[in-house]
Amino acid sequence: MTEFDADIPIVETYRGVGIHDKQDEARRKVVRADIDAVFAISRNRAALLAWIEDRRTAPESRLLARAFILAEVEEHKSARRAAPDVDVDRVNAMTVALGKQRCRSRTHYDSFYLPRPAPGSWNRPVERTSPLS
Amino acid sequence: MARGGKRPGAGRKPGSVNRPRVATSLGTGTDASQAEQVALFVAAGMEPSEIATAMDLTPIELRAKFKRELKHGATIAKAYLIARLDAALARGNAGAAKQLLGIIGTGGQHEAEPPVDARTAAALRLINGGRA
Repeated sequence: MTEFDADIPIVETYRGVGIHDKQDEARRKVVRADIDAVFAISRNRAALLAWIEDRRTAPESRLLARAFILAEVEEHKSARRAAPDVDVDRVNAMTVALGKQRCRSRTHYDSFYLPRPAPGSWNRPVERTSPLS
Repeated sequence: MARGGKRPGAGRKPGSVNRPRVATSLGTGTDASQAEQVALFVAAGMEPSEIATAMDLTPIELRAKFKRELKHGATIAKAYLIARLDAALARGNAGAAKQLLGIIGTGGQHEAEPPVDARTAAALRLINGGRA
């Protein structure tokens, strides 16, 4: 893997989920709470999809929500059942860059590849207290 | 014949394990203690500009002197802390033993993880770079 493709470094593992670096303890508490929330909705596909679309949530938790959705799709495949009604391409498009160093927004806890919602929109990513250098 | 006073050889010995490990003032002390400070600050989420200010260095000086700590600060700080816990354990600190066992015994995770079902296990494999 080249530097260009590198994953964001993980500084802590919480419930099996890596927490990204360059976040202070106050922020990491928020991330842990978001991870807990995703575990709580892990069987609710609609809730997981809504979580992924919610740009206010921690990227780590959106990646976990994606993983639960893809795990369900894989389960259906393995059991030769009809695939669940999920737009996997959209799920991937909304999340795949969230764990990559080169896609990391300097100013928000989000990927800079995702379009920034309009000012005043409810769905705005959380702004970092200080931009990444 | 004089009486009283300190017996020869009494008092803190040079190189005592109780000496401070890091400088009490930021930006002073040995390179090793400064490196440890930088690693701790990185692990706490401080930005390089903030660390440079605290250490009374320019950002360029900080990057030149502590490149490794800036890149891997969290890992280095964790290693320092585990080593300190081990040193405390060697001095008979029971609390340190418990904490160290908690870290090593659970592979560094926060606490013992509850058993997970197949879908959760698959999701965790996916998120950690494997396949479902």
